[in-house]
Amino acid sequence: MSSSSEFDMVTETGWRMGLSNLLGKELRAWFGTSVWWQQALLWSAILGMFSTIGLQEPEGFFIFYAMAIIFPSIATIIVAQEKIVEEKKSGSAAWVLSKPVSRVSFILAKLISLGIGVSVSMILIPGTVVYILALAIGSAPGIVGFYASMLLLALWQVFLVFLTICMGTFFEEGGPVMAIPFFFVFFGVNLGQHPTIGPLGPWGLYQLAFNFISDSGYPIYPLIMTAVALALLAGIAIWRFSKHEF
Amino acid sequence: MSQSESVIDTQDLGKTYGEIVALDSLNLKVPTHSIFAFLGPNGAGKTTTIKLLLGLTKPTTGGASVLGHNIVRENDQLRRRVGYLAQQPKFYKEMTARETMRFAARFYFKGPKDTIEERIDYLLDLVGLDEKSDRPIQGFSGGEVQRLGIAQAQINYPDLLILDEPAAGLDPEGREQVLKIMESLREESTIFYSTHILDDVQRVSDTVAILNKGRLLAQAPIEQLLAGSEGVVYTLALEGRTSEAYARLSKQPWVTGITEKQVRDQTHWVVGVSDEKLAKKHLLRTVLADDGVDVVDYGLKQYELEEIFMKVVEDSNSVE
Repeated sequence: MSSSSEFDMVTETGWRMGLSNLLGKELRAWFGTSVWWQQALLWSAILGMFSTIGLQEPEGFFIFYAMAIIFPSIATIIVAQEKIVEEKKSGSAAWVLSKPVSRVSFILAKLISLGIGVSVSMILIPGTVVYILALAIGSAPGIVGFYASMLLLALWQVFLVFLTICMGTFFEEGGPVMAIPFFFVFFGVNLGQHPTIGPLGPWGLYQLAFNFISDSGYPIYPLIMTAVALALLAGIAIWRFSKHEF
Repeated sequence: MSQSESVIDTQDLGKTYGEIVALDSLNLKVPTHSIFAFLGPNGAGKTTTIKLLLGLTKPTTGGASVLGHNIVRENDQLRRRVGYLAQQPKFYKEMTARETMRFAARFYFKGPKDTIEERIDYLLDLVGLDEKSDRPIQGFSGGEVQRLGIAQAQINYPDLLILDEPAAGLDPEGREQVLKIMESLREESTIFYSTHILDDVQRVSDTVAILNKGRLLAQAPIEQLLAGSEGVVYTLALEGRTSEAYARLSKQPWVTGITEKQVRDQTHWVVGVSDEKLAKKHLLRTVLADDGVDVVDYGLKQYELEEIFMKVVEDSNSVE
């Protein structure tokens, strides 16, 4: 039988304590299981099917962007609320936090892993499928502009992940946690089109994304505002979770 | 921390939720290398205490140290040296038992990989899950999840193992297995466990604390607790005419009291004595001094933990 002196001990301390292990676990839960390809397949099929309706037209890609900003967002919110609310309710969060783990690490691991997961499976892979379809039809936009716009759509999903996880640190039930993110999804598209309010928040991201392939002259403010929002949401989530009593 | 110090030492530790007092000025000392049973009915405050010790919730009043570390200020260091099993352990159901063990191990150890795997194999074997180690947890029975919980709690060679109701909800076989595991871990760790199953406590524990409605009612080595607080007491079951024997015995200066109870055609006495030696020599002879009474059962009263527990809890309830 081994003894504890035979091991190389983990040296992470402070806010980073447990981060690498938690991040690895969360990424494996997405990319190490069927979750990533099932989500990718689902959204490739849905977004690909809707997009073929208009790809022949110059403005046809707008349908893809509008779909990509709404439908995967619903799945993102549901998945994200499960990540935080279910773990708080079931007791698995308390189990993890009984280990040498900081609460900052717990939240960051969820934000980062889920942000990457939904971006890849729900936006980047379906986006690639749609781009290949557009190439086949002969209406593909420039690849650099297209993928730059995909990153902005992914950033919208990341915003929803951060917002939902942040709400999940305040509430114990899925309903209240999902209410505000859903509000952003269903009203965000309209807000983004507003000439004044549109560029002032993450809701302007899809207009900005579309700008990358249509050159519609949309300002870059949504990108800056989203970066600020992500930092704020992460900060609030960490602050609130550090006060949570199990 | 020296061997003589307490592994857990709480000073007026308290927790309130609004106006509800979950824990009221708890002063607890858990000796090193003990199996310490934290006993109490549901809602007594056992789980709240455990969560406070682990930093999962914060005290409203007082404080505590675990392994010499303050539970609020030095909780990070504390958690490196403690193993914990929750009341109803919930692990990630997509993981297998082995993956769960690896996940738990990576919070403490970076390597070597072979040594970590050896430790995992040893613990899975110890808890009897070696043959199910690569199956997803979602197919496990309650007892298997509980045993996995003990194994993962032991992964870091903890100086203190905290188990919250480790045998609750298990069938007799599952309970037996958990108790055996706890006994086998006695050499490696101090074990602090909460329970309301009194039979288990009497079997494996060496020190007991009784909690009710957030208040500590008793704390002592189990032998001391089982000795009772009423001094030496004999029990007798008699048949026949007992009145003369009763009068004779009552006159003895070493008899402090006799409680009489009729059970069908027998008379049961509980006789308190002040001098155990005199009682041993003369009690039975005094009773049998006439032919009218027969003694069908006789002995020194052995307290069961359940009696002690019920008495302590009922006394505390009647005071309020």
